Amino acid sequence: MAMTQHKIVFSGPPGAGKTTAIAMLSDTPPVVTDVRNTDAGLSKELTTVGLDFGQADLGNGQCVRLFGTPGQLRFDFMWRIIATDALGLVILLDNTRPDPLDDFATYLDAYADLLPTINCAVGIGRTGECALPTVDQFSSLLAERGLAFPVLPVDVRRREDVLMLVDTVLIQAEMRT
Amino acid sequence: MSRDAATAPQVKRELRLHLQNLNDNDLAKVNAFLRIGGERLQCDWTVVFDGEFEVLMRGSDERGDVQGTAGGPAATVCLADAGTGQHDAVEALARPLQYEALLDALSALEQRIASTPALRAVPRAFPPDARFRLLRWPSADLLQGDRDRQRLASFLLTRLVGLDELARLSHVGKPQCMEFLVLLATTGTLDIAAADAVPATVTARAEPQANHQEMDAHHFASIRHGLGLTWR
Repeated sequence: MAMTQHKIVFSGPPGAGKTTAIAMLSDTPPVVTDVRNTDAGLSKELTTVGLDFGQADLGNGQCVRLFGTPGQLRFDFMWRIIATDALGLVILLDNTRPDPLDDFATYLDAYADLLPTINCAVGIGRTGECALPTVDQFSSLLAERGLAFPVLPVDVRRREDVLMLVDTVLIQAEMRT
Repeated sequence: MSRDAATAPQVKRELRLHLQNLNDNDLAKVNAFLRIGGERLQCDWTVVFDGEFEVLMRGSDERGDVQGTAGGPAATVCLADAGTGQHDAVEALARPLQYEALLDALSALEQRIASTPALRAVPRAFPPDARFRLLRWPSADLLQGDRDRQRLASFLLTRLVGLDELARLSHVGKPQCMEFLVLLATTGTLDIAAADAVPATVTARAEPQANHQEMDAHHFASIRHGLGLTWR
């Protein structure tokens, strides 16, 4: 019997927690394409240059394939390729970065032609360390573009937070069928 | 503009600012800044400590049980020590409170309140068989980090949904669904359509991607079960 595969894509700037989020859901440690970081603007030792991949076997011949896009802007040509035909897109943002709203705008621009049809959720990380911008400011940015997606504060180290994002994506998909 | 209109005295709208959990220093500053800077604002701001209000300013992360106009505050301003995680308010101000920051925040709230139907009266009853759809993602204040509310809002994002369907799909009780719908209606984020209205898509939300059109409720139940989505 052919396996039914569903694809969920995690996207966002470097350090937003894409690899961690995938690890929270994947049955096996995610396949990563991390290399030593040479970007002085990033305070992390390793960074993803290809894509991250994990898989959750659902049984009954179904699985969810979890992809993480490379965060750095120079790999933006890969973002849409990876997200095409996905069941859902989760955009993760890091509120401690210099301009999280600008990061968000970058991803909204990059996925502009997919967003009207894709099921999407937005997770704002590290809101505890940096209160501003508020979660509502991210929602407002969506509203200004005529879009409405779930925008939730998350800690991607908490599986239930990652699951909540995925659930809101599944709900949108369910409502469209 | 008629001459009468042009010469008519400008009556400022009153907005009530409910202060909650502010220390004496913050209280004194808010009152002083409003007294000094009141002319800069378009509305007459009145500080209140009980009764109805349009804006809540709170000085800690503790949630009070205060109720604002139409069952909930139109907006919340958090006053937080610099570096602390007050992330769920529409506006956040850092201590020590600064004159310009407070006036700018209140001015922005005036614009928002004026440009949105945020102070609508609570509907006594929705039309029979009404269907609902979110116009935008609700504020964090309204969601209160509550999983059920987050899920209900997600069900309302994509298309018009009736109360029965919302309760059935979400597995949240009808009274809780109705309570949430009423709250959304008071903030002007809910599109309410009669039962015979042509189903509308959410702004900029088009047809689903072709490869997912054949999925049915069983598929989604299977995915949720497989991932361990167990809260509903």
